[in-house]
Amino acid sequence: MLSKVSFIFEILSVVFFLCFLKRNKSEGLWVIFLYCVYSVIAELVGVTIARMYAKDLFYFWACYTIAEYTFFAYFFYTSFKNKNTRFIPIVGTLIFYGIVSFTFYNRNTQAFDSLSASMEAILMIIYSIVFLYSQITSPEIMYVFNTKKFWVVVATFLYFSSTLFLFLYAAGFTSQEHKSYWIINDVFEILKNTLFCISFAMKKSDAGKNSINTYNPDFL
Amino acid sequence: MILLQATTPGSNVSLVLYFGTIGMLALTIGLIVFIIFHQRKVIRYQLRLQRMEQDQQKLLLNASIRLQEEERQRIAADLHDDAGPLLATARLYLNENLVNLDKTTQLQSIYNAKQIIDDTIQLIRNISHSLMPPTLKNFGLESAVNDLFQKISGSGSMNASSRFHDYRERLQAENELIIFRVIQELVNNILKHSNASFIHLTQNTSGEKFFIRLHHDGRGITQNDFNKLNKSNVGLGLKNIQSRLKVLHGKIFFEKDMSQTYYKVTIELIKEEEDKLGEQE
Repeated sequence: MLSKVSFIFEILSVVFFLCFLKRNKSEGLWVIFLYCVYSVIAELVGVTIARMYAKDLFYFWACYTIAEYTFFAYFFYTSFKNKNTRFIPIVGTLIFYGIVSFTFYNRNTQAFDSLSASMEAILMIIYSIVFLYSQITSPEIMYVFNTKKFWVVVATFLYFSSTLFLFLYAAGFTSQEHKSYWIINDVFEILKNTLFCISFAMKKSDAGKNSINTYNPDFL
Repeated sequence: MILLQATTPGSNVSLVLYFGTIGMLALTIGLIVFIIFHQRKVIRYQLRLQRMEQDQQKLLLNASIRLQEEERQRIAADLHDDAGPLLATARLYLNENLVNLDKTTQLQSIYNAKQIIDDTIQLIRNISHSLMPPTLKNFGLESAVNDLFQKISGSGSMNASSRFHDYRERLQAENELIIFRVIQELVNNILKHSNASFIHLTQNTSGEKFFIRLHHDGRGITQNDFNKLNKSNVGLGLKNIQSRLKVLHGKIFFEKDMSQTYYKVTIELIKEEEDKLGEQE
């Protein structure tokens, strides 16, 4: 039931982006939209594959993780304005692809690619922290919470930090355990897509509105 | 991570999983809340700074308006109290000419009227010179300052000297006037409050910076006093100095000399800034 709701929220984020297309133009969120579309397609394909080759979903999950990581890493790379912080996703990506290649050739499970997924979650948490730190130290940004990217990063941060332990243990789950523990993923998937929807529906954060002159301390 | 993966399924897995997830979630939410509150704090601080700056601007503007009004009143008083009666008297003498047919009396009254008109011309010239010193207009800041200091020295109450080390190119006329008014105000303050026996002014440049320094051996103020007076409702002249320098994007520093004997006032201007302002005007 929860997985169906989660799937609906995935579709909803795509719909929200398209509905508020004007607001999301030139905001650097295209990559997140592509990720949402990819998630919907992967969900549909995953169900089909699961029905046909239920026993071996390792490569499917591994590919999904690679694509997911690539989308987010690109998003963070383009969001980091400082040249000094831009090297972080580059180094992280090299490490990640190294680990993925290793698990591809040395697979020891037929189920979930736990190592790559956990590595992805850890890297995403690091990128999110770096992003948020750069936002609060940037003098140009008056209200971080008024920017679309802030909510996308919050969604990513919450999702990956909450599912980190789940991904760590997922490889060793029995189908019964998978069923009972995967609720965590579904719940935070819903939360992530809700925050994406909020971000897509937000008005463009223009400089005038983001200035100190329009600040109302009672806003929060 | 690998160690965690090696944990056998079932052995406290659910406990670690749930506590780990809750812990991570709590940390994440805590961090996000911290960021939002930190931002709020920063914004409030900046807002307070901006308000303080606005108050300061308001004070400066009020000071400048008050000073302008005082200047107008002074000119009005000069014209009304001095020039008005003088011209009225001259008119009386000339009127007398119309009714008095005695030639000697006529000549005497014409002479008196001429004397009074000469006095009036001198008076108006003085008013005009106080508005825009002709030396400044025709010969520049250096000559105007030298002239001012010579007059002060000539009075015998104080020894005043000035030296311009690097003033080959004149500044924009409007900016020269602003600097001259600032120097006048500072000298005025020294004469009124410091009880100094000498004032020495030096001018020099360093790169794109233009400096004017005033030394005196009387009672003076430091930067802290200046800032305090600027924020209070007193110290109209100092606020006026500040608002004039603001036009030139200049700075002023009040300090005691290294030897702790003299007070030093430094006016710092950026030459490029001065050129740009001139171009805009």
